[in-house]
Amino acid sequence: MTVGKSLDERLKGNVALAVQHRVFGDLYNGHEHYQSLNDVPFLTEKHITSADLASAANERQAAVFHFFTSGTTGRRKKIPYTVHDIASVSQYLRWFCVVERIKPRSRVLVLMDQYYWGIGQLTAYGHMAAGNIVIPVDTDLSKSSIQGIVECTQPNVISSLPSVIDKFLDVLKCHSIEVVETTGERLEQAQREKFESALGARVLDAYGLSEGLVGVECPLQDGYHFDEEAVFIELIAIDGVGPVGEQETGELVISVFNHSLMPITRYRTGDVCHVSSTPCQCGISGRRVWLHGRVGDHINLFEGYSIHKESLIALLTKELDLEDVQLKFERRERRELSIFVRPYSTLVERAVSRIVENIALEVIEMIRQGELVIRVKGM
Amino acid sequence: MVSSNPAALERLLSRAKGSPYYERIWRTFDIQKFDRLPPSDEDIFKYYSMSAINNDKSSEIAMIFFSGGTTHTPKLIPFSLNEWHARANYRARMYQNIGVSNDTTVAVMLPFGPWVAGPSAQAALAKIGCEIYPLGLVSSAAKAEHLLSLINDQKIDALVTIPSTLEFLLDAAVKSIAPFRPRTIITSGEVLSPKLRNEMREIFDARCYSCYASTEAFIGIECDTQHGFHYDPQEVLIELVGPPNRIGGRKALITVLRSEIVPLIRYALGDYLCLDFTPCDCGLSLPRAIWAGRQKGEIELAGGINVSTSEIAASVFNAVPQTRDVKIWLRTVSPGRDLLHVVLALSSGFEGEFVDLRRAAMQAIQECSLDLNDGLSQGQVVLDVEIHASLAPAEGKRKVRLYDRRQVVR
Repeated sequence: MTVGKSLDERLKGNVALAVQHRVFGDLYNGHEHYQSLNDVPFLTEKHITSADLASAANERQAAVFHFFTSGTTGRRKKIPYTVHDIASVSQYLRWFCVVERIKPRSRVLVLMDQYYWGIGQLTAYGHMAAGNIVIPVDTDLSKSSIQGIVECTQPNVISSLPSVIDKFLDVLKCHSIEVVETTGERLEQAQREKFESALGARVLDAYGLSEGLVGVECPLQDGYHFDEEAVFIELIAIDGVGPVGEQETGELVISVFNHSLMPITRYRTGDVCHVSSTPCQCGISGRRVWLHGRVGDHINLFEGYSIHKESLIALLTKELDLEDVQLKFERRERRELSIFVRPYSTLVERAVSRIVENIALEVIEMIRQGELVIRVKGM
Repeated sequence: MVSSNPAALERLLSRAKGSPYYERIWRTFDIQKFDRLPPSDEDIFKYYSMSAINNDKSSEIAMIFFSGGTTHTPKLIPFSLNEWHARANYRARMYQNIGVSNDTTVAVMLPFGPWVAGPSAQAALAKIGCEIYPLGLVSSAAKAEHLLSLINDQKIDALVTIPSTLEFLLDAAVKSIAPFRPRTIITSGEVLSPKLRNEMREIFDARCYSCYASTEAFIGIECDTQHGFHYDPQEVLIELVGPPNRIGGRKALITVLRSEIVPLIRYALGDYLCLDFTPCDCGLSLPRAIWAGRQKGEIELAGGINVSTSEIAASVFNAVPQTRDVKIWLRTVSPGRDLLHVVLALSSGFEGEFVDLRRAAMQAIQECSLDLNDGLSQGQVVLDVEIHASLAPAEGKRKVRLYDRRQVVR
């Protein structure tokens, strides 16, 4: 975080860094000394996933960690962090603990995968930076193992994804839990109520994307507090026309200051939000943001992973030279994604299945566990 | 007793004072009598339960990992930041000895939370300044193919992994006639078989280096001569005690000189070693520890899962008291996946449903070890239980036998 510098200086600094970025640098070329922020182009997911995925760091002087996220366009995204970036992000997460009123030296069970995706490790580092005792646990352990770990460590805080908490709810019950911190997926109100009732603890959601952390709820659970030293928020009209005022909904655009290898500036998140500067009763100053949903038509393939329909259709059409592709998604006992293609052949069927299965590691796992079925048919 | 780091040893002994475990097993903390101090063993971790941690030194603990124990009473391994960094620094130096540098791009394909292997390797690589891809383990062909493609796309030139995962990747590369870019492979967690080592060399010109490490300690790493694990006596003191086994190894006790929260002093790892202090052809002056077997009854399964025949047998005898004999068969299902086939013979005169007993035995075995439970969930180990009636009387000595028929003995 570049504490103390004006917002304008920090944004210009970000653009100057972004110009050097091998993947999306061209987008920002010439805008380093912009007169008006509105002149700086928007960054979208396509810019991050369309280029080659090799290291974007031209000159590296320290360790770089590469994490992945599946993205909604059907291509995986790589998100690199230097050690310094991780330290910066950890400091922001330390601030999250202050907002959440997590006591110092809490025992935090970070029930998130600590590999491939960054969220698990970043959460663990953040809690360590806050001085907490961290117990990192991947989500592929059995229920009895997780239960044993919970009984043994008596955590005060559980940090995890809503779907993971749901899966292990019956073995997470522990009298010591004071806060349940959710992140990584949309938290539904019904889930919040279910978890609070079962675990006897406040559920506080953290909002972030792979490209950058946004904010976190305080115990009053009314919007996400965010620190403008770490992230700058704008809203743009969903139809692309006109400004968006306070309390009006628009597409969230973020600029992130704590990530030197991914100097995200004016990134269109695809999330629909509103922002307010009305002070929160908790006493934490600054604006808050509320999340309402996603822009455009998405298929929620499974919890924590949605795919933009048009992007998947475009990907398959382009890769396989198809004339037409349609999607149908049903959720019964298991999830079924039916892909109708023209022209159809068994070769095309195999190729489509292969492409879709390899969109994300999560998809492979869901298919392996029998929770997701992909069917390819002719039109 | 020879320690090349007496100052560190003194500090460690002073940390042990006040430890209820060491106060119970030792009468003295005198460094002059070090080699006569009774060895410690994994019972030490029972004294570091969460309640004990909260009452004592909790201000130093930063992370907690696990190792072994049953699923209901897992063994806690706490770390302070100091000892975590010390471990990472040592491991980093040993990696650098085999050529890992800040130009190396490395995939860490080891188990992560709640196990220490992945985070520890990653921390060491970060100290060196590598590009790091934490990818976790592989336990299916589809995942192997996906990650192999990622490894090649990302131009990863080194792997830190376990042999079982390497087998999956090798299989995926051969079946799909895909390239295999990494040329340096550092393995740990399981014994690296000569067969796998040679296959990687001959098919992909990849050099494998095995590490000697456990959750409790990182000890050392092979060099190009592949004759033992180089280790630094300034970091780890290794003593050999007791009579030699049939291949000349003796019981190893390790002292991790920078351990803090759980001071590991003369700790019995359960392995037999030989030590070689003669100069190595590689040029490194560090001595070598040569692995010479493990304690009788200890099994290493695919995925680096350690479990003992006594753990399995005890859980079965408890769940199915009518059991007289236990035969434990180990077979290879496929590369990177083992079958643990447990055959129970019941005492004569038993009348009842085998189905219920089988279910009880399966559950008991799954829960007898946290490691094994994880391996079963991940698919690295497949468990099957078979029950037979026998003519054995209800009284008398029970027998436990192990038959290892795997293609790759670990």
